[in-house]
Amino acid sequence: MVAFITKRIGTVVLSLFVLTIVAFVLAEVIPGDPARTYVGPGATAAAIKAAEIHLGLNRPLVVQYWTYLVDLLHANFGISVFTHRPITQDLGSALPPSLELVVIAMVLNIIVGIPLGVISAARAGGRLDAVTRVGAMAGAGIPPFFLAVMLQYLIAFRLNWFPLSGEFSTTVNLGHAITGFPLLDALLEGNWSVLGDGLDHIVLPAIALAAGFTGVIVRTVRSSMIGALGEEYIVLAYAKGLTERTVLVRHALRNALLPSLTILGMQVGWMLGSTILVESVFSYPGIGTYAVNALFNSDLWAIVGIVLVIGAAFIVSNFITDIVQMIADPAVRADRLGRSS
Amino acid sequence: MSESGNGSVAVLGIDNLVVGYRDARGRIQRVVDDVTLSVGARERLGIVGESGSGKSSLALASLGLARGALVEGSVRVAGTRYQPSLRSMRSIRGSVIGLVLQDPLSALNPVVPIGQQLEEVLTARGSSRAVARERAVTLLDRVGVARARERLRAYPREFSGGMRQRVVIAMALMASPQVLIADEPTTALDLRTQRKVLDLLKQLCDEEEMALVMISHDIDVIADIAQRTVVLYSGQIVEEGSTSGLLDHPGHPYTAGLLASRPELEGPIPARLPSIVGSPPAPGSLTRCCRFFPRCSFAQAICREEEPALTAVGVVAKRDGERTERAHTSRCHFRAAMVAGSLVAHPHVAQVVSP
Amino acid sequence: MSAVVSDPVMLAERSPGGASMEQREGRTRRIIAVLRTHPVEAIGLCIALFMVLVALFGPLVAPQNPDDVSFATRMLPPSATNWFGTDDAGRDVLSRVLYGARTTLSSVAIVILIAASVGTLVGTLAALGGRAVDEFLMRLTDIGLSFPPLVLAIGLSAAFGGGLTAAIAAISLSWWPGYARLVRTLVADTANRDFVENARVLGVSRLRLVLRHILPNALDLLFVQVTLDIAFVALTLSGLSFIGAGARPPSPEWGAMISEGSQVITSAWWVAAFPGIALTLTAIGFSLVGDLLRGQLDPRLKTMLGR
Repeated sequence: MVAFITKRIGTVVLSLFVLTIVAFVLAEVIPGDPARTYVGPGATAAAIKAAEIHLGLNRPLVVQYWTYLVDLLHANFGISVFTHRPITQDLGSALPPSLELVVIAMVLNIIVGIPLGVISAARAGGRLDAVTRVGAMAGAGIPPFFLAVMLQYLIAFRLNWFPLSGEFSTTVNLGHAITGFPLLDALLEGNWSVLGDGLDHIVLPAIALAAGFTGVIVRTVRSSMIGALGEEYIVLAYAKGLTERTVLVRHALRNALLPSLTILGMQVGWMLGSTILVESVFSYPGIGTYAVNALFNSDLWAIVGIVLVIGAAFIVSNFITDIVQMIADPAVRADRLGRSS
Repeated sequence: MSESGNGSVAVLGIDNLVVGYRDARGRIQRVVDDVTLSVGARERLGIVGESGSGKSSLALASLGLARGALVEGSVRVAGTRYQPSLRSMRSIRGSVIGLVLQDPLSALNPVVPIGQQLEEVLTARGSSRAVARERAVTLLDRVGVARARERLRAYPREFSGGMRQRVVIAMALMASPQVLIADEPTTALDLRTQRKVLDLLKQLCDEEEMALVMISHDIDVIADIAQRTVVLYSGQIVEEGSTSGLLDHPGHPYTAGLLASRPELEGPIPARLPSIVGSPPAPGSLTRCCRFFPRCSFAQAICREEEPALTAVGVVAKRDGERTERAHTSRCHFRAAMVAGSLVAHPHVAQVVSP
Repeated sequence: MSAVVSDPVMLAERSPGGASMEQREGRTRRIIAVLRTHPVEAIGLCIALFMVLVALFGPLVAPQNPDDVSFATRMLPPSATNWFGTDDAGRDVLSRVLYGARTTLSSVAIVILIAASVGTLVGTLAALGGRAVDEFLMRLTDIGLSFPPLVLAIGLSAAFGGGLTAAIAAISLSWWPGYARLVRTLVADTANRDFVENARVLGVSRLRLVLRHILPNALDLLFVQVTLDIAFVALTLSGLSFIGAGARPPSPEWGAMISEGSQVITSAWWVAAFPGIALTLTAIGFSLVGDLLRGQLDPRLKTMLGR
């Protein structure tokens, strides 16, 4: 077991290392002449040359990589060519709103996905089941960005139920930053109006982000539940006089939940990446909008910074999910340890 | 009839139960075809039949647990009539009727400690954890699980097969049911453990004043534990009577066949083990004739043309206008001759009956 | 005595020359039976086939040229002349959606072709090439799998300068590890089965072994994965175009069209809506087909993998 974890950590470190190499390769290959962008329009050759030296673009490749790696480890991701601020600083302010968005989306995912999966499994073959399955299919098939656009148009614009864009209304007084996480700070300060306003703004992006993942969760839970409900102990559970609710939750779901939890864990990383598709529609100031802006401005270092952050988050969250799964599920444990490749 | 074999009020009565499933083409096939039987208080009834006879469906359906099946008929429990469905029978499950199934491996939830699985029978009915726990410990002790109080926290996988089956039995007894239905409870166990579990069941029925319905394909098991026996074939009762009577004078060729197919422990080893040729018919494939006809060594022309009804053999003794002795019934045209032992077998020729 | 059979192993598995007429007859009937019992999936199949037809023949029936800019007819709502309305440059949305089908689906096809080919190659090598090769390639695959495809594709696409070609290359690069892993498992398991052992004993050459015996059996399950992937790849590809890292204007790619439409969503909802609906239907259709295939092949999968 310990050997397995060590091996796994080794893979993680290796992956992170490869990630930095990939990031660096990306940075070197992106053409959109960062020096020129940095200087701006109407640049003279001399200014561009000076910018090149300033940005360190005239040294040999390997040296540049080493410097880059060292910089990374000192949390120096370079300067953004369109905000002209350190990228770490940009990421530092863009990451918390995205993380909050992912949290809210995950909450939605869980409170909608799991019950729907359970109920449709309990009523498998019936009308509710058919509707749920079609809904899950549709949810997983709609592109998140299209859903975002449509939600914005129909719900925010037409029905005016939620704000059109942004993180908070402009008129709101945000108070102090304790943790750097806007909603959390509002909660900690007891600033209910700000919290409410923030939640108002986060709902539509969260739905757009979560929809596809919820579709997957509903189907996963449903299929594991159907499997669990076919077991003999379910018959005996009913034979003991337990209510359907008890049997479903206390017995069937207990067994069915594990594979779903694993998938939920993996979804966290995927969700963070998917913010890129959803945030810009709502101008939600998270890492997604930052990425889209960086792309637009061909800001190579910023893009690379994003790839690093989201990539690392993905790798780490997968690793944690793996370990948790190993600890919690004896079947997986036997499978993985037996086949130690 | 609300009376049972020993004249007392039936604790469990099954009336005209039909259990059907839809086949691949959507047609309904009956696996249990109009079965009526009753169990008296403290009575031990045995139901014997091959796989495919419908015995498990009968057990499950009578508790409303046959999912996916179409069920007709009704079940009488302690005087009240119920529709055999999941919802309507919830109140009597566990409290009046207990269930023990065949495979102890899959009968317990692998991720829940056995203590919880035992206690929830009572806590679901409003009793406190403490009371439930005490009862669980008592019962585990009774069924022979050592160090019962500690083992409450153990998981099913920590027990051997025989021990697990004892836990399942304890679980079925938690709410002191009046009748216990046991569907092949010893089939998955080795012979030694089988013996012990059967003895345990007998003991518990006596101590708890509980009726028992023992379902098995093994007629020896039934012979050991049941006072009265029902023989099930192709979804129908083909014979019913006191166990000893059935064993000595079977009234149906199928019963005779079952008895004959037991290997003898003494005497010379036969060249071939006796068995009943052929296999049970598919549900719905044989109508308007005796369903055992294709495999019957005593078959005559009438067997092919007319379906026999379940009727009493001989005279029914009455006393004071009431039935005191449940008749020995058989679904065979030649039941009287069978019982008398005067029916002549002819070498079996495989008979193909067109439906 | 029977004549010498040139390839006795073939008796154990299906014939290379195609099924006999009787086998084909039975197969058709089975397919129809399956479709009848799965109406939802059957609808998905229809949608998917329809989309393929649109991709192939759409441009032939398109009423207008997708690039015809006409500022006089900007942002017109759906009408008899423009069934899907016009966009902010006066182009007919219906025609653009029809052309877009070809762009999107052909790009998806290319991605999957590349990813599946590379993946199959790597997977087969890993499965048959001995332990060291297996370790190395699988480590590579593991690392490849531990990166989020979308973000990696964005990085790669931006690195190559954007554009549809770059996006295709980027997604292919992030997708092949999945196939490699799958093919490796399938080939390794098939290679262990008896009939392959028989063939080897009889002296069948290794390459022939792979090509005629192992791969055809693995292909079924690979095909299921491919069908499921069509939806994912389509969504990723159009996602890239949506944020500007893929197909660029004036290319009638659905993702790019949705992006353009989102700019004018409040005054001309149809510009974004119709390509979005087309994309959604495509994704759902192919997902359903993939589900259906997986449902049918799953029992065979289980016996094949010996579980």
